[in-house]
Amino acid sequence: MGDPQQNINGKAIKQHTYEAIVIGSGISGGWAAKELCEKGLKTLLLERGRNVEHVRDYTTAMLPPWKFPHHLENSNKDRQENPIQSFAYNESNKHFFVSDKEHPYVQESPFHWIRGYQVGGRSLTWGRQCYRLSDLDFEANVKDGFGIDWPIRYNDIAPWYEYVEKFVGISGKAEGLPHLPDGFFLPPMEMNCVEEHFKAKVEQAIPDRRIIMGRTANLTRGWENRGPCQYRNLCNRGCPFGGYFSSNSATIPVAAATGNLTLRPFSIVLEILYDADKKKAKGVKIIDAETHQTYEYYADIIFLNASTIGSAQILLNSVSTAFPQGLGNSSGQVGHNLMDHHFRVGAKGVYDGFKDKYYKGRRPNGVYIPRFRNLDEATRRTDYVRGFGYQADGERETWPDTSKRLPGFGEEFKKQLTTPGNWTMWMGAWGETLPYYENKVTLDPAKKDKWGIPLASIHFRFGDNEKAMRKDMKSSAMEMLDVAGFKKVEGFDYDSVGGDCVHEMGTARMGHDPKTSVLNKWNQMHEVKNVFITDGSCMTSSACQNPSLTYMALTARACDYAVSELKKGNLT
Amino acid sequence: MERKKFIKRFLALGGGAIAVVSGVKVYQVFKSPDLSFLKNAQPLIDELAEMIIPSTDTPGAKEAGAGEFVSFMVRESCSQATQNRFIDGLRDLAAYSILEYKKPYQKCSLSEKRAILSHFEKKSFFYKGIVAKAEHKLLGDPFFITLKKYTVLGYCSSELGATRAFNYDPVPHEYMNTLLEPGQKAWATQ
Repeated sequence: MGDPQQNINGKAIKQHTYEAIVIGSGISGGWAAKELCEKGLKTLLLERGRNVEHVRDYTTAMLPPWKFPHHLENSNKDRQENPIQSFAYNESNKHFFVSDKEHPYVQESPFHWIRGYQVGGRSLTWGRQCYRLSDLDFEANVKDGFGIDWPIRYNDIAPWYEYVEKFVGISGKAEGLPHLPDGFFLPPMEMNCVEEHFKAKVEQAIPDRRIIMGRTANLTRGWENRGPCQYRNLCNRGCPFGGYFSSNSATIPVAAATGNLTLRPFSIVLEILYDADKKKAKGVKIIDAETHQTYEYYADIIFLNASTIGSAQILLNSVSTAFPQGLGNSSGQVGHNLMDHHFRVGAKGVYDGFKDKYYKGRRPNGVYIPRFRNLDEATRRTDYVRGFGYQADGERETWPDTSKRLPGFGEEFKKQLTTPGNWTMWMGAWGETLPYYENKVTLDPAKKDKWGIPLASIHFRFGDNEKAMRKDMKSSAMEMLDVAGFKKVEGFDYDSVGGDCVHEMGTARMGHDPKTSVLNKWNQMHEVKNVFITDGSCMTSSACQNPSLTYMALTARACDYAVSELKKGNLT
Repeated sequence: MERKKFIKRFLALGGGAIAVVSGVKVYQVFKSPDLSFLKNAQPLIDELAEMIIPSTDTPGAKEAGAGEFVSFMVRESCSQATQNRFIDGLRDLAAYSILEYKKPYQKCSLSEKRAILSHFEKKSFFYKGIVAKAEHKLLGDPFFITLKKYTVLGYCSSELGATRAFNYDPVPHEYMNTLLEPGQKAWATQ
């Protein structure tokens, strides 16, 4: 493979030199680019996939269902060619998911690695639920002994939560719960009548339960020249109204407007280059995804935001004499402690009432039931540690549900099919997964992708704690539906496979001790001070809250620290 | 190879039991499906779809193109076993109407057609639990289930179905609680 930089001269080096490089343009990389550009740093944002420009490239956003040949169901071809991604995509958004064929990885045990290689990454298709962590989460590891202690506490991150919330725009309501701290909220969305009923009954019958409106990065009013949400519930096609937060709609345009951003799509990072004399990273080596040419870029600071598995893969592939096990990996922790929330367990029921009530609009959000287990002595469980929260949703059945339930055919069937059905409530639990050293990403010793990069090889299993928790996740959901007077209450446990939740975390964890962790309390590599990692890989524990808001807050905080250190001359 | 071996074992041992309770001719579901038959059978499929969702004060399945959608999805989105069971179902239905009513299905009266389709609906009920899972995975879906599923999907997501039989609201602007007006149709999309 030709390297046009082999005989590189001073001028070319200069052209390839920036003040900062950000690897990955997803939800955390977009934030890093915005913060660094706004702080005046000439920043190169590297993205391995194609460009996706806000609005222009949302090609399916305005299409009605009949414009999709399979009416949004996947075909045999999809299931054969994309056995993993087709779990997560449909006809309307498959262009925001990778091709499994083109981007293989090794499953030592079943793990579904759902990915979107394009500018904006998975911020285009994320679930948008935003919840702060609290000291219940930051102190969990040190209190029960699973994993290492987080090097930060809630007070360290609280102002940064507020900082990012003020830009993102999160609709929600203050509830005064210490373990699910309030934030800066735009007006909350509305509960429907069955959710209001459920809230009143459950909170009355079981005093430790709270049913709150979901907190979501969908705008309930115009914000930062975006939105508001139009209640189409087609978010993951990309929103032409800018109704929800993504790198494409929010952070990248702001970064670009500073004049400091250079965005380079089709740039697959092979490795971070290490300067053993200066004990710093000097830049990155990339391969152009289209031409297969390699290039080097240099910068004072590097933010690695290539996703939990992607970032681990890059670190492990960045081998030098100083770091034979991968960049900044003397601890041997890089790639280990992989976590994903476990879910696909809960209950559903039917409510016989409110026949004269309905709603207008499609709310891209539901209600939330914050964690209520293992908060204190009174809620202590003997069968598992940590806890879970529920996302729930009340609605009247429409044809996809009624058609399966209604027998027969003909005029009467059609009449019932086209009439609003029963009120139903669906509750799904999202549970904390403990950090297990054995759950890990490594590089396959033999297999490589078409760019010659060793494949990520994933070993992942949920443990006994998660299994015990799932029983409670199901039975507590059934209990709540029962006390709220629902009928035909059915529990379910579809047995989630690792990765299904797309909340991968933990492969370059933060910690106090360089012997047992990769990053310090500033998301800075213990061993390579000018490399910062602020995607999911930094997470020391998983908590049970949807994690993206925490990545965003940690990113903004790390950028602030990095630039102040740079100005003090501590990073060069 | 492993898959073939498994199927052989299935046919030899456990499969027999499932096949008997389901009333499915097991040897037929693994053959290469005769998809060209769907083209010839399109008029019949259109009629059957129209039986599922007839024209009333709003358009029916045939006008909405749901019959063609059924054949398209059988070709594009069904397992080989489901494809075979659908094609065999169409043949069985034609044969059944000759046997029972001494005339082709298309010549039958509306009530005869209803009785014929009801007969096939009764034959197609799903087993629950493990048997259902095994049945679905290995033997595919019954003929009537496939017919109904794709008629519904084809109709409800068609332009005529979504905009005439349902309320289609592409840009609602807001989410709010409302009263259900008398005769109000369901929303077309979720």
